[in-house]
Amino acid sequence: MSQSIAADLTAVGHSQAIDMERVEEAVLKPLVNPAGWRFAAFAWLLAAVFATGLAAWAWQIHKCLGVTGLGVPIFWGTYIINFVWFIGISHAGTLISAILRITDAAWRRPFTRIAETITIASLPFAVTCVIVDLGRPDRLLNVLLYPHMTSPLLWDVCCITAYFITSCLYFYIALIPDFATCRDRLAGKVSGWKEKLYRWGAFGWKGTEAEVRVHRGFMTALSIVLLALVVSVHTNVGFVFGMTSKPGWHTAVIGPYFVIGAAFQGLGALSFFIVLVRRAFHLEWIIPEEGLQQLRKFFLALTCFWGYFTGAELLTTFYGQHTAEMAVFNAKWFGQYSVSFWAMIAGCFFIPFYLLVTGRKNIERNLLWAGFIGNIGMWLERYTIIVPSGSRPFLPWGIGHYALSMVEWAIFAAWVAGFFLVFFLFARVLPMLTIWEIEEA
Amino acid sequence: MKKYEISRRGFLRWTGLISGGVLLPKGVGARVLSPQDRPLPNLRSEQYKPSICGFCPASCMLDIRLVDGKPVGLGGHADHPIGRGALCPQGCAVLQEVFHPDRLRYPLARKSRGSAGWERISWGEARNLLRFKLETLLERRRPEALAVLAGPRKDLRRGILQRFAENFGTPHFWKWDWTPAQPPKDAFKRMHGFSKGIFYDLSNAGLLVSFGWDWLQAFPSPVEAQRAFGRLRGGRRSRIIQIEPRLSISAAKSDEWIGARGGSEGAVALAVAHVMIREGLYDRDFVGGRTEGFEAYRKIVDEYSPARSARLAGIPEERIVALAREMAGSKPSLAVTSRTTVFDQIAVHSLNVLTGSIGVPGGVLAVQDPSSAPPASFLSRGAGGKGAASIVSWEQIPEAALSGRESPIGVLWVDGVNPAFSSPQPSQWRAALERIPFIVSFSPIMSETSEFADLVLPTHEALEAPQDASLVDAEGRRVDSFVPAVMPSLYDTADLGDFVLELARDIGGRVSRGLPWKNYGEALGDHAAKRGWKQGMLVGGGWSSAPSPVLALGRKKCRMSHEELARPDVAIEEPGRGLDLHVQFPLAFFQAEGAQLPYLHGLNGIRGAKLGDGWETTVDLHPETARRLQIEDGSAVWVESDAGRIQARARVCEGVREDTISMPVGLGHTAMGRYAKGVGSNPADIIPREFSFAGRALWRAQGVKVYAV
Amino acid sequence: MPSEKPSKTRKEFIVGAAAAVAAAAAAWAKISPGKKTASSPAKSAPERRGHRWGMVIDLDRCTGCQACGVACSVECNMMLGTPEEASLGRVIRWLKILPETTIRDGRVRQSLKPMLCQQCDDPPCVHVCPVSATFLSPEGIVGQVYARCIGCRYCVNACPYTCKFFNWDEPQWPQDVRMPFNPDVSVRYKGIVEKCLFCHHRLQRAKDKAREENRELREGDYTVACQTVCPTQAIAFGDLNDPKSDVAKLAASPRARRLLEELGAEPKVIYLQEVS
Repeated sequence: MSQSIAADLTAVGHSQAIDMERVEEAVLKPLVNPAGWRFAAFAWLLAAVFATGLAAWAWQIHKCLGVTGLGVPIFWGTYIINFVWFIGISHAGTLISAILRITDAAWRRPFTRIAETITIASLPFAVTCVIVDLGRPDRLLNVLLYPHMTSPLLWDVCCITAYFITSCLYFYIALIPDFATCRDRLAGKVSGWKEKLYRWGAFGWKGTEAEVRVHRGFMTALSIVLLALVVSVHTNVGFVFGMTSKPGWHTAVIGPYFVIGAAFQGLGALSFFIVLVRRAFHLEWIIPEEGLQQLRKFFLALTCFWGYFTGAELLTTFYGQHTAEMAVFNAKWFGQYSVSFWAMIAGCFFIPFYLLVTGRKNIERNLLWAGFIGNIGMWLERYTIIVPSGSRPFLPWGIGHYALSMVEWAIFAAWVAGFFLVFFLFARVLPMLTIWEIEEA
Repeated sequence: MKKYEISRRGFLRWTGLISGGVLLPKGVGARVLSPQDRPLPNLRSEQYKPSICGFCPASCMLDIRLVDGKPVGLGGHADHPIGRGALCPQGCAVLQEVFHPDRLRYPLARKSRGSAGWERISWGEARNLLRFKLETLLERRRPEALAVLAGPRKDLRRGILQRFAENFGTPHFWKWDWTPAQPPKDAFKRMHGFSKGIFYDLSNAGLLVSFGWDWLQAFPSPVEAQRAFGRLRGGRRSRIIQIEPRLSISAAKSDEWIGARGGSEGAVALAVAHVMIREGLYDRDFVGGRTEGFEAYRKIVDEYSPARSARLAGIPEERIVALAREMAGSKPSLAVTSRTTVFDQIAVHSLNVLTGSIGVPGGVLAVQDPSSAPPASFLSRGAGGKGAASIVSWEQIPEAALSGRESPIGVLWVDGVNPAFSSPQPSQWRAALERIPFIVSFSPIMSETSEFADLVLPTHEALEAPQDASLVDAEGRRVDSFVPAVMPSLYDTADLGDFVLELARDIGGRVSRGLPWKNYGEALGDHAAKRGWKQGMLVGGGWSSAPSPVLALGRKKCRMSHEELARPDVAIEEPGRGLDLHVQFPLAFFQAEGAQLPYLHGLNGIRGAKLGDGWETTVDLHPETARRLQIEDGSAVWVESDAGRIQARARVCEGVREDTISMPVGLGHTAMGRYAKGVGSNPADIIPREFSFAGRALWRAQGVKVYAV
Repeated sequence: MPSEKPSKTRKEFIVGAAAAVAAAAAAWAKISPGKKTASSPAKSAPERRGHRWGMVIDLDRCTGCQACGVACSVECNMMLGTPEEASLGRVIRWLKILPETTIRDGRVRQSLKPMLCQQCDDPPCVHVCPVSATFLSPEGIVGQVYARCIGCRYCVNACPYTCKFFNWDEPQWPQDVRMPFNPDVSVRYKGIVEKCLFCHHRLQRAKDKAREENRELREGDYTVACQTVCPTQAIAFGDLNDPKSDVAKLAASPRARRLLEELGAEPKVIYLQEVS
């Protein structure tokens, strides 16, 4: 075993010499091998957590939002935080794939599929967060029946719908050649439904030159569209807050800030999963360390961007000295929310910054932790944007308090579990690396 | 030239228009999206009927909206002289009382003493049971063992009840009068010789100085107090000064708040008098011609130098001096206070004498009090109670019942009031009630007092029966009002008037002869005839109002020297001995009633710091006090006095003295239905039983401790 | 084929887009002619014809007695609430007193403001509603369609006055308590947002009555519950567009202020500040 890894590692040194046969075999191995008991247990555990959350949601639908810890004046809480957070995670895929595909960064090649899977796995949970947050989810269709286009929430609906559809399309189109590979290589080795899936999914792909040309063209076009959507989606998510006059929300920087935050967070999620997949499926020789180093630099750049935007926003608020804004500012810096605020600053900036700067040697470990902590930091960031502004209304109605209720925790855990579950199931069914892109190299 | 600006609305509309134009055909969009008025339901019948609010003796007239015969809304009756279309918060909540889910639906008798078991009985059985107890008293020649605590309403039913008590032969008949919402009647009585019919002409005052009376929250007639305030603020805008240890509503609405210690009001008033006399600022003509005992008064006042009083009150000396000069300089200036210690009452009221504000508009006036009792022809037959009352005031019933081997009260008749909640240290009341052999309580809801009764009899709610009221309004007019029933009674309840008249007939003898009417209706006819009501009033309701003859208060010489002034009821404590407990009386819980009405719960005083405070009992602490005691804003604390301890939520605010804490009365019920029970705590629990020279309970506690739970 | 004449296509697109923008701009200009110049409570939007309902609250007269709040609760079938709900701020009262303690020159002052929906002319809550459930009526009342609201609470967040309310739970009224409910006012249920509607049902009834009597709506026909019970007559209500009305006259007072005026929501509840 150790010998084979050593051999793999030598192979990494000569990336040119990567044997596509071996790559395909390694990438497709998880699709063929039956899942071990550990995986099964883990999956069942996640499923159980998810089911609990669904039950909690059912209870919440029955009782209405009174079962949450929300109240006046904090009207939005965990669900909206999670919505923004999951949208942020979803930015992993599109960002890496689209930006890097457009710029044709070579090191992206092994990462794209994982990135896109993260997007596809997280977006449904993001969208359902908003539905969970509704007082009347049964009236969801009113959004289509009585659309009121001045509402940033409706802009969001449009953007996210477009984003989701395009992402699915993008994900699928990128999969077609790999489906064909699966179809060809795994015939007879996997169960019937998988075979059928690969056959149907391949869409009669033969790999002719014409096919390849159309495919590449389509991918490039979609990348560009997606890039626009990525920016629009998170800008609009920011606008949902920024378009109100609420202290702490009403700032011009909030759109770009949300985009940068999401990119940072998405990259964090990607780093985390890349390292996980690399380890779990022993793909160290296909996902070379150089690629991780590039990822680290990119991640580091975004960390700095995040710090820059945060600093700009805080300094502007502080210099403005607007009474209502300062109430929120002070609550974050010194008051009620100082713990989450400073934890956010540490989690989004200082810790990832340190890990990434010093990460040249322990690249895997540092990337994993930076991604993980960055994501927790970003959850806290959403929290410190949404909750403190709620707790300090313009008029002296008093200070609001908000603590997550059991139902909120259950749904929170369920959605995270659901996301992981979907991701891992995908990893068992679909090749986690984009074989055709690696081949291309 | 039109000017175009980009407004947010314009921008949004613009973007909306473009996007909307893309997404929806325009016409369809407009039709679907712009909401249409939902037509209101067709009402088969809608009418407005007058009624009289039964919550407090002010007797405001209501305007009840009935749809299909069911009351569904209300307002104040626009023309009635008391309310003039306005209402107080309690009055607005009348319908919640009528339709309270925990209203008693039929008469209840306790199965046995000490048990909580009740059984339904008929009204006839209830009457027989009570008759038997009363006849036993008559047989034993102990009519004085009947004690009647009547509700505060000024109406014929209370008149009948009073007549009943007098003909029965007991001197122990009291109308429940809640001292925090009363003018200084004890001072009036001592200084002018009488107190009935004396009133403050608030709305015409040139300067209003309130000594410790949160009069906007606790005034005999709340709506009239608010209206008087409105009039003081309109037009020439008279100045208002509030002297109180806490920034109460009255203090917040005044022009100047002087945060003197609670209980030092009398000392401050005497210091003001001291300055007036020293500087020769008082009305010499008035004092010279129409008072007696001024020299003795002056000697007492000499002891209260501004410096001494300022020390006692914890306020700057200059403020007292300035106050004296301002009071002497503004005419008419009016010094008001509530019915606290006799010392404080006399000290404050003497300022009205010194400024000559007696018997002048904007000062203290008096009218002949129209007795609300039944017609004179009938009164003459009543013999009245025999002998002197052995109990000074109803507030001392517990002391009387608990002293000695046997309770001097054999039968206690409680009419719609709840002293076992709304008196200082109600535990004493509960102990006393357990000792009294027989208690009958008339109450629409099972109250704390009713829980100790042997008979609990639900009478009609105000809307379910004809109502009358005869009183003098805040401007000195005699107002007689009458309304017929607005709706049939919902449950097996009875009319108190009918019940008493039937009971009297059953008992027979002198009691029966004294109350010759068959029922309330008949008595009312008699009453109306004697009062000269127009016939139409009895049919559809209405009122008659006429200026009452003004009594020249100053004609009889006003006594200024009093023993109570030389020797206060309660020694004025030197500052520095622990915390004072100041009790507030929120208007929503006027007379400490109203917690059973959910719409009133959030109105438990006005709070600033935290949301939802109104639903629990808070204790106001000055930030400095809180820091010293290491108590955080919003934390749960114990408040402990010699009489006990209660829990409350700390509220740190600047509007209270550093040596004082303040709590609102109204919550903390252990009965009174589902909405009141178990919400908050009752500060009365920790008010020690202390009485003024007039035998009235004092709402104050000193040396109080506050500590975290 | 399009690749043959790319420039023309692009040009067409630009021309088309410009035309669309111009048309939209024209439409916009038509909708809001010269709106919002210097605005003071007294003279805002005199151009708009018809009624413009507004309220003036004289804080110098108001004693914070809260009769208005209870009258509102009774008139509009308000939820009852429990202490637990109160501790989370979930008890809905369309009108309540907002107290504010300030210390100026060492003197402690407390102001008491009756707070209800400020009925903005440019309501932030309306703009953000995704389903047109809240809207500005032609007579200036900000309405709420309970049957349409999806409970996203965006409008509640957008309201700078915190005067919109969400039903966190199904309101509980025992059958008895429901008996005296006002048949003119819909009973709200869980999961939706509600707000003060300036007793809109009373306006409808007043209009019906005026129509029956074949006359125009007169001042005093349309009153609101809070105003009628106010013992100090601190609340005036009426048509701000009618220069002879009490509200219009009071709104011209030098003491007239609107809350958070700097936000530009143009509220139609005007406060006359305390004299001190």
